[in-house]
Order: sequence, then C-alpha cells, then structure tokens
Amino acid sequence: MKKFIINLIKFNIVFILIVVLLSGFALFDNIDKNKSKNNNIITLQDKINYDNLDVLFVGSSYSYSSIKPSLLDEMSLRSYNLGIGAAGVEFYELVIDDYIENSKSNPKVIFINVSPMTFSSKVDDYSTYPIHRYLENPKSHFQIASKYNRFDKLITMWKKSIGKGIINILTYNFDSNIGKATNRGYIYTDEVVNKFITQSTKHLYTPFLKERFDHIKLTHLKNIVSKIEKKGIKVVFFELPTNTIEKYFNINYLKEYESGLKELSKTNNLLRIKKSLFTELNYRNIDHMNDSGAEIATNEVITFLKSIN
Amino acid sequence: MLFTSLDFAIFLPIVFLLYWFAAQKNLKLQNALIVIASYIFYGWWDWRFLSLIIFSTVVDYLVGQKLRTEDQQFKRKVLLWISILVNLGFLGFFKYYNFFLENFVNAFSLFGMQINANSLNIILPVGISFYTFQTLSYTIDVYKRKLESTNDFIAFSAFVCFFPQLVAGPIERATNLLPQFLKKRTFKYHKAVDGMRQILWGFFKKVVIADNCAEFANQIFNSSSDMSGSTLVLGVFFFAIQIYGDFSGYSDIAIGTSRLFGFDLKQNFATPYFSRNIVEFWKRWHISLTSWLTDYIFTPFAIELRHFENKGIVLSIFITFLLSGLWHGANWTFIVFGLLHAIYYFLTILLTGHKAPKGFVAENRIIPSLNEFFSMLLTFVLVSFSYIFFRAENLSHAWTYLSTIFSKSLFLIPDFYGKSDAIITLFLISIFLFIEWFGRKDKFAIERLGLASKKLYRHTTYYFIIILIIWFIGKPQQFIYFQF
Repeated sequence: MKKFIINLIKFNIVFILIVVLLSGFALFDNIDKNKSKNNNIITLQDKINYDNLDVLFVGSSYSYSSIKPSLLDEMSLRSYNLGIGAAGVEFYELVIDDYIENSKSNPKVIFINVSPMTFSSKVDDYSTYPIHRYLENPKSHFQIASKYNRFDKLITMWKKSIGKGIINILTYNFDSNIGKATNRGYIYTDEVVNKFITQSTKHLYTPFLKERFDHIKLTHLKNIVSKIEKKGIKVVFFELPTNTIEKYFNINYLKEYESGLKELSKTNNLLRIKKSLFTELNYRNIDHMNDSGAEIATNEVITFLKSIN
Repeated sequence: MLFTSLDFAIFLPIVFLLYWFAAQKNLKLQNALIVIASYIFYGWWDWRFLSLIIFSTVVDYLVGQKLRTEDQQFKRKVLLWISILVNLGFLGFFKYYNFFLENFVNAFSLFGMQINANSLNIILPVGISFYTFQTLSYTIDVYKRKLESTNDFIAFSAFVCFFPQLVAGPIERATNLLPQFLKKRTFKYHKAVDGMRQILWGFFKKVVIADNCAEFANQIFNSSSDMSGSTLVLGVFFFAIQIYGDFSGYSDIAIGTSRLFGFDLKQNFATPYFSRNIVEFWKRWHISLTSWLTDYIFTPFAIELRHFENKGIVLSIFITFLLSGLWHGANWTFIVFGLLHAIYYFLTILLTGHKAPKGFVAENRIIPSLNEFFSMLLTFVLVSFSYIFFRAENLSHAWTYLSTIFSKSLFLIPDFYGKSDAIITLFLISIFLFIEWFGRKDKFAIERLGLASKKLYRHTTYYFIIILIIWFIGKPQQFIYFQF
C-alpha cells in the first residue's frame, strides 16, 4: 500500500515537472505579434499607429466588415476600426482599456457595436481568439480567468498557448514582418452571399436558437460605458444590419435584446442603421457585409456624425 | 458524478484512502463505506432517486431472505414475481410510461377512438436500467438456487449500489460480485497498478476518442438535412467510434476503479469492431448485457418454445433482440435497432451454420487474412448501419438520413465545419484502432504494457496518454449510456 502511494506521488511529481516544462512554451505564444497574418492581431498591433483619434469604432467582425475609416477622412475625422472577431462585452473592455492606457490622447468618441451576438454565450472565446495575449500590455490567462471568472477555460487557454508557443518558436525565423495594416482595421471583401455559402455555414448559426439573452453582459456593458465616460469620452452605440442573423435567434431572445437596446438608448445615442438600405448583394455571408455594404453603412455613420456635429 | 469531472477526481482518492486506511481491518466497515460513498456518488446527480435504489435493495434483500426458507414452489414463484414487478415496475414507469401511453393513444386513434391520457413529465433516473438488471439477477439466481441468499444487508446494499458500475455497468451478476463483498479484501499492488492503467486507457477512449468524435457526429446528425450523403457516412463512422470509445471507456474506468478497491468485475468489451460476424460481435459488445439477456431472456424462452424446434429458437432470438433494443430507450428507433440485429443474427446463423468464429481474428498473426479483413469490414458496416437508427431522433430522421446517404451526394467530397480538426481526430482514431488491434487478446488494449515493457518506456507512454487526455478534455460530453 505504502509502495503504491509513494510511487503514485513520484509519478505525479514527474508529471508536474513535465507540465511546468510545457508551460514554458506557453510564454512564447505571442512572439508572432508583428508577423502574424491574423486580422485580429494585425488590428491590435496597428492601433498604436493611430493616436489622437476623433472616432474609435469598437466591435466584432460585424464592425471590421462594415466600417471603412478611410471614408471618414473626407470629414477630416481621424478614425480607427478596432473590430475583433467574435468580440463581446469582455473583449470590448479589454481593447478599449488597452487603447486608452497606451495612447497619448483619448479618442473623442467611441462607437460601440451592438448586435444580438454581443449578449450571447458564443462571443469572447479566449481560447479561439486569445486577444488578451496580443494587447500592448498582454494579460495572462490567469488574469483573464480571475477578472471574468473564466476558470473553466483556463486549461483550454493554456493548451492553446502551449501549441502556439511551440509553433511560434519553430517558425519564428521563417516569417517576415508583415508591416502595418492599410485599412485601419477594416477588412475588405467583395464576395457576395449565395445559396452555397448560406447552406454550408447554416449549421454554425443554428445553435443560437437555444441561446438565452445574457443580462449580466448588458449590465457589464453599461459599467464599461460609465467608466469610459468618466474619462471625458463620448460613447455612441451602433447597430449594423446583419443580413439574416435574426432568423437564428429565438423570439424571446430578440425581445430581450430589443428591450436591452432601449435601456442603452436611455443614456447614450444609439444609431440603428436601417436594414432597408441594403440588399442581399451588400452581404458576403449570413451575417457580414461586403465592401459595397460597408460603403453604405459607413456613409450612414457619417450622416449621423454630421447630425450630432 | 461524472468520472471525467473534478468532483470525481477529489472523491475517488478520499474514498480510496478511507477504505484502505480507516476501514481496512473491518470488512463490515469497508462495505458500509462503499454504500455511503456510492450513495454520495449517485446523490450528487439527484439525491431524490436514491430512494428508488434503497427501496429495490430492501425488497430484493427481503425476497432473498424469504426464498432461502421457503420450499413451496408456488410461494417461491410469488416471491420472485414480487421482486420482478417492483424492479421492472420502477423501470417501466420511469423509462417506458410515456412511450407506451403515446403509442397506446395513437393505436386507438387509428380506429377512430379518441382517448384522453396525459403524458407525465418524468425524469429518467440515471443508471436505472443497469442496477435494476443487476439486482434482478440476484433474486432470479436465488430463486433458481444457483446462489445462496445473503444475511448481510450491508454487503447486499454494497452489491446493488457499488459506485464504479452503478450508473452504466458492467451489469454484474450476483454470483460473481456478491461473494466478493462477503470476504476480506487485501490490497494488492499489481492489481491496483493494473487498475490505474485500465482507468487511464478508459479516460483516453472517452476523452480523446469519443468526445472528439462526438463533436463531429453531433454536428452531422443534428444538421443532417444540410449535409451530403458522403458527409452522413462519415457521421455514422464518427458515431460508431464515439459510442465504442464512450461506453467501453466507461467500462474500463469502472473496472479499473473496482480493482483499486480489490474487486474484479467482468470484461464488458473485447474489441468488438474486430469481430468477423454479428454473432461474434454480440459476444464482444456489452458482454454483461448480452450474457444477462442470454441467461434470463433467451434461454428461458428457448426452453419454453423448444416444441417449435428451430422456429422457437428464431422467435427467442427476435424477442431477445427486441427487448435489447427497448432496454436502450423508449423509442421506435431502438426497437428497429434491436430488430435489425435480430435479422443480422438470424441470417448469420442461417448462412454460416455455426455461431461465433473461434478464438481471435488473425490468431498468431500480425495482420488478418483477406477473408478475415472483409468479414470484419462487413460486420462493421452492418453494425454502423444499425447505428443510424440508434442515433437518430426518430424514425423519420433515420429514414431521411438513409435516403440522403443513398443519393447522388454520396459521391461528393464530405463537407462540414471543422474539417481540419476532423483529420486530426481521424488520425487519433487510427492510432487508437492500431493499439486496440495489438491488444485484442487482452482484457484492455494496454494491459500488456505493464507486463513486458521497461519502466522508462512504460512511464513515457503513460505521460503521453495523460497529456493527450488533458489536451482534449475541453468540453466533456456526458457518457451516452447514462441515458439508458
């Protein structure tokens, strides 16, 4: 019996050493920050080149597919699109804080994108999109887990980091620097949605039918806004038409989403860009715009900005 | 409590240490500890249903006691039927009440008669099909005088609720397990290490193989109307591996855990996908259920129907498989699953004239002969075909699934979300089947690792398996057989 327990302890000590050794690789998970071709990483690294902004757009892939900062140049407004794939309220907070902490001057206005996705459980996936590792001041997985109570995701994040760290070490000398993004966070595509695209991606959206609107996320968003406003920054919410995404959410969810937007509009401006301005030709898939859609959406933002001076 | 949960990782060492340190010298205390631990293990899921287990335990214990002293055949039969009715009554109510009610109402409506009957919102108690069969084996064996009933209520309770195999088997016979509770257990180092090895292999099967396959099998089955025939074939393949990894993985963890406590449970799976025909498959798949059904359903029926000669045997086969299908769940899909296997079984006997092929496939050889290979392939295809019914939501889902498979889209390249991850999963499956192939003669695939190899090689393999398990433990899926 004693022999069994002693051997078990010895076995576990060696295993812990192996884990510690492997964790060493995880420290190298973000050394590709200036070489990666991932849009999220490029956008996060490039933002530092755009200081003294008039308008900062924060949102998910809906934002980076629909807002073209170059169009705002005509109004002599300096802007940057900090749209991050699958971003929700937590990602918003991380990127906004990171921007404010590291820029010389605060942006005058922050446009925060809201959509049914924003309050679902499918966003802010740190293991698929470990953006916290690519901030100017990277956050550790543990910091994220404690800040947002994501301890259940700690092992998954850690695993992802080990894998990425090893790949980064092995490929570090082979990649060349990619240089800064040219579209200030906007991702261009002229693809137009068709039946095949809809059919082959439909299954990704069907799980949303079972989603429940997360009121905690709504409260969290309101807290973020008041934190930003204390720094003298104006906050505007904006909602983009998202083709057929509403079909994939249940009625109760959409009802609560609508009342959530109502609540947000009580304290801040809410720009809801009309769906009727768009046709199917303005979308690249079930829920994202293409370049022609982005032109329309950005022009609507410009009109709105003019209206509020 | 799930074997793959953190709760179990804390629970098991505590029970293990108490069992071998605090209760080692007292058999009754050890058994009492097992009962308490098992009730905690079960109650972790839903404590209310503990009352069902306790009630079954008390009834079967008392019936056993009465059967010991009762010589009148009629009274013995009454006692047996009390036990059968109580146990099957619970099972029937919780598992089949709504199913039979709905079908009863539908059948009457066919003849224009409207019956008002409300179905109930019933929760199925975890593992009810398993412990019901286990405790029934006790009263039937005592009735048949194959087993002496026990006076030790604690030992009997421990036999009924033994936590490693309480919720998903193996379904142990009283003749094998109960005597182990009645004699002193001593800690055996090699037995415990072997148990740990089997637990490790079980976790590998469940977490690395089954849970990975589940992701694709679920996606493909749940969105089957949007998928091509070729993708659906792949979906069936993933499900076939998932259900084997899931269920045999659970059995390995259960058997391994039991060994830590000094118990020997019977082997529940013996590399069934390397079977050369359906008869052999059922000798290797869920062995504890098959042997239970053989002894308590097939054999009594075959004896009763012996006057009908071969027709009686065929009828017994069909009844046994029908009940086997129904045991899995209250759905017509499971009944079709059972009937399909009855047809396979019957045809195999008819065509081959014999039962299971002897020994192991490719005995004394590394690779199978061409004949063996095609026999295994055919068996696997037939079994996988039946899984379409097993996994489908209902018969119409199974039917549309099948009609899509047998359409032009069968020749398209499979397309679904996460194809690159699926390739990794297919790679893991091939490694898994490779290891299973080389361990096909053993009780579990890596059993020999502990017998022949050097410590460094052995431990490196264990660490590698553990790292793979941790790597893939992301989204644990519930064990499929919990629902039965």
